[in-house]
Amino acid sequence: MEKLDNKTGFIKNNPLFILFLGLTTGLAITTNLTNALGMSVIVLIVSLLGSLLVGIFKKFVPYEAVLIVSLVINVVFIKIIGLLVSAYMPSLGGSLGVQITLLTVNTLILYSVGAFDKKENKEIKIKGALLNSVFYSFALILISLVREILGAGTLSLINPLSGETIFNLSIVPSDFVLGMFLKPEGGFLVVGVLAAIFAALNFKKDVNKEVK
Amino acid sequence: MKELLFLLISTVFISNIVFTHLVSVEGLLKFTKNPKLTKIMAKLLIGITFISSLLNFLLYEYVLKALGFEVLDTLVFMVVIFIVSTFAFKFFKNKDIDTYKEVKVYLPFLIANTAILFASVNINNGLEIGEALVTSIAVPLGLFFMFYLFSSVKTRLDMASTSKAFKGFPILLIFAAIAILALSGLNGLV
Repeated sequence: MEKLDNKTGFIKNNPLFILFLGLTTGLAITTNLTNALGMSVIVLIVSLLGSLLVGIFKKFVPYEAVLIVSLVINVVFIKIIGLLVSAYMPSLGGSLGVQITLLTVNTLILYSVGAFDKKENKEIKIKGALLNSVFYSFALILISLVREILGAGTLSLINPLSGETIFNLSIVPSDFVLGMFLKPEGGFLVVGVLAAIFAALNFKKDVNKEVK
Repeated sequence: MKELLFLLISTVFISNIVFTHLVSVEGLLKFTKNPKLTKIMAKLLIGITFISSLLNFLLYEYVLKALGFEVLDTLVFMVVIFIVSTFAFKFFKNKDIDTYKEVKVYLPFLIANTAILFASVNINNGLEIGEALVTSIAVPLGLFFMFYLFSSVKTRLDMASTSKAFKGFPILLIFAAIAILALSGLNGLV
């Protein structure tokens, strides 16, 4: 919890691998690149719009009500985006499923919009929200790359609007793929190992700083 | 009756919401810091999940559907969850103010727990009232099972000589992967 006061970065304080924010989304939807990219865009839009509105509301809403105000704002944006996704991108909507609704309580979004901020902190955090969601998106894409390559052996991107394949590379022969990586256990394993790698990189950075 | 018993067992062990829908993983990692915190958080989470999912089922089935306002479902669920949580925190504060001060930082993360919202969404997936009642009990039981499992393993892992990078949450995630593999062996039970 104490780490949440620090600024996030891609390697230092990565929102997903070091701070473990928004882990449910990071584990559940990262089975392929298309889902991860789609979810990244949704997270980006909701965080940016949310941070703007919550920042404005914070100025005249009592501190105790900031969390519920952020939640309600999140619900509204996510409901609208969820309806738009199921109308115009049915394949993406189908594969993301209930996870779009669960984004309402995604801690990364709530943290970006400033729902967990201290009482004194009343500024509008658009820059912070943008950076947080970009770092989070990189993390989602990284997990999905590992899982798709190891689990399906391919790397493909589908345009969710039209349904046509943009690229489809076959990387690992189908005899050598491990279907486990597309299941929940694979998600846990990949996120666990990547989190350890990021923690190791952080240690290295800290040691280098001390030497200098 | 038999079906309801099967539903209870399968919801608690086989299709446990934590391992099939990956909800509340964050809570399981963050709230199992020490046994005292785990106990309080698990109690609060289970209570809130049970009450709010049942309330949300009744509200959705008999109010929102009747009025034709199904589109407001998430909003209503979230507000109900917030109200139930606030009451739970007030109750807890009156009961034990010292412990309340200790765990105060974690309470916003409890409201933002995916398991509570998922339980409310899941219960309104076309279930009959009997099934909904069983699910509303089984989901918190499954959460309790997970909390027990995670905190036990965490206590053991704290004593183990884990390498520095894996220490803390990463090794717990690896444990979760192995636990799912082990629990998937129960698939044929029901």
